[in-house]
Amino acid sequence: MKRELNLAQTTFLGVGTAICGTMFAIMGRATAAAGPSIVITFLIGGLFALFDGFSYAELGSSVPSGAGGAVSFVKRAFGESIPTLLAGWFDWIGSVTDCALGAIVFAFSISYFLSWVEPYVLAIIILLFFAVINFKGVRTMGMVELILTTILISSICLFIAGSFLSFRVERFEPFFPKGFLPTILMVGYIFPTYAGYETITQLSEEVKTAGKTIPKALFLSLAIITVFFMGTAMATIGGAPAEAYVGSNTPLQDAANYFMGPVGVLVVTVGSMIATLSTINGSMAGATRIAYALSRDNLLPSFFKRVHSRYRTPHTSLALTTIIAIMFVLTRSIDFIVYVIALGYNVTAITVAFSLIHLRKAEPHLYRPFKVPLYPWPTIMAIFTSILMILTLSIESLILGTAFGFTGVCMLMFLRKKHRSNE
Amino acid sequence: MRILVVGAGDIGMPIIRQLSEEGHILTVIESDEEKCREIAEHADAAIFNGSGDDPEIWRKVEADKIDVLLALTNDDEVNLKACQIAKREYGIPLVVSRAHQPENMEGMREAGADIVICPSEETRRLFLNALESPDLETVYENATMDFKIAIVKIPLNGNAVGKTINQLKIPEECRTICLFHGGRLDYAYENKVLRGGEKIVLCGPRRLVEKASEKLRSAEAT
Repeated sequence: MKRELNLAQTTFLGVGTAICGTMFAIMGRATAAAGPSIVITFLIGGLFALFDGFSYAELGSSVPSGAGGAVSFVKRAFGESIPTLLAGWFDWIGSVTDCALGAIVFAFSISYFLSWVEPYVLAIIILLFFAVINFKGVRTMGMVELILTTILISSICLFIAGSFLSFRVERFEPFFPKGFLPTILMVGYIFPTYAGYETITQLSEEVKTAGKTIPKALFLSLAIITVFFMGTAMATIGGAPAEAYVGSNTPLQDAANYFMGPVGVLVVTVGSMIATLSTINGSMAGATRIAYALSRDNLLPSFFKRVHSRYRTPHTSLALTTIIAIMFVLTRSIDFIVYVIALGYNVTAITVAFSLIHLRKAEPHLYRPFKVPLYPWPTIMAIFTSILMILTLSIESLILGTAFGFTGVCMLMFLRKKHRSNE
Repeated sequence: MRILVVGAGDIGMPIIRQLSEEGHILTVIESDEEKCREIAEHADAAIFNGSGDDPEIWRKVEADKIDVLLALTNDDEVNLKACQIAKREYGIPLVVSRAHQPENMEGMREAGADIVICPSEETRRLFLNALESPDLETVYENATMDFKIAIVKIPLNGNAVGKTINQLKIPEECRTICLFHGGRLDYAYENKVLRGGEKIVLCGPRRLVEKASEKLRSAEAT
């Protein structure tokens, strides 16, 4: 793999990857819970993401073979053990649900125009379609991604600009209609919009002088997407009356319809389709890679490290990923899926933060082109805010998370025993 | 290839940058933090800030996966220790070491280095080769293998004129590759009578090639 990406391209790709379907799905529900103050919620979300970002930046720039993402950092710190399994599994489930949500958002954008289409069925069809694409190992070319990201960013800018056509400052009052509490509590819910920007670290083998470039790209893209999310929230709230989009499955399309008519809807639909298509493909591929890597490290049954003889893709891991994604779609609950994404991301972020702390002590010689400033405070805050956000998730997702984690640990113990008895 | 470089100084740094450019997977051990920063600025490598003779650091660099060690510091003791650790503890297939002092070359070979390069020695040899007469051109010289390819020109009044290669009794390990005359290579040299102005391409151990070339170039009456 040749190193071809510079700072601008890496940042651009990071922004494109981070803006996934989640923003398009949740704006209505989030605003229903916290009102106009949701703009502040996004800002807080950006800050919390920054704390995690510091961990990813330091580890991504220093850990050799850190291109495997969170799991490779945790593995470096803790070897093939429970923390690594937790990091891998929750990273995996976060990606799988991200993929499922992407398919759902895409399906809803289509059904906005073609009302006879049953969105959840279409979502499953889309997942199967991308499973086949990933099975055959088709990779999108870098140029295509750059073009798509440009269109995506343009459509968001157009949306924000379009809201000025019917922007009314009065719509921001009352700013805290249900008090301050929802503003804080909703951070966990909107947080999945940020989840994904840290996958920039997985590009480190394709980026020039990655040690310097990746941290810069990370923070730049985080700043950019924070502005985008806050801007989109403000545009929605200021540009359209609450009735237009609250509680809708396609809030941004509805808002755009209000202030720009069908043209606006088209703009948003194009944007959401690009965002979701790249997310579905990217997170399906990413989740497959995680499952495959875990299986190679004996943290998952060896069944999942099978590679197809002709296409050279990890087809068993891909099948597992697709099946679980479909199961999530079948729950027909966007909220549940969003909570699981948040759970996945936050548990992984906690393990990554602990890995950073451990590596600071265990590997003082590892040169870190980027070091977390004012250490250990941002890392402690990262752990603290992740736990806080997990606690605000729904009971169902917490139960699922605990069961999931517990199953994983049991399976690991079982695999260990089997491994030992084979020796 | 997975390459471990110890020392990012005057020799190490440009090598690191070039190897990085060529796409190799690099690990670097360098004791100066400022140089570590410079490496991160211009190359892609896993960087360890410490000394190349420290077994503690060696434990962290995943040395069992490394194909090549380049010990390039300006401290022969560090380089020697690195060679030792590389060969004896981790079995790194190719170990290349720099020797500042020629006297340390043998020690490094014993410690495990497959190739030892002493910059001052190499420079000395290059300058001496430049003094060679135009009748003798060293095309290729490899110190480790003790192998040299040379092109020798037979003088017009040379002692070798009129004789065949076999008659000159050149030692067996010094091989004649071909003749060169009239702008053409001639591989069928076996029974050809040599002519003045003709060139012969020889290869073999250095000293034998040098002796053979002297014989071919001699022009005094025997």
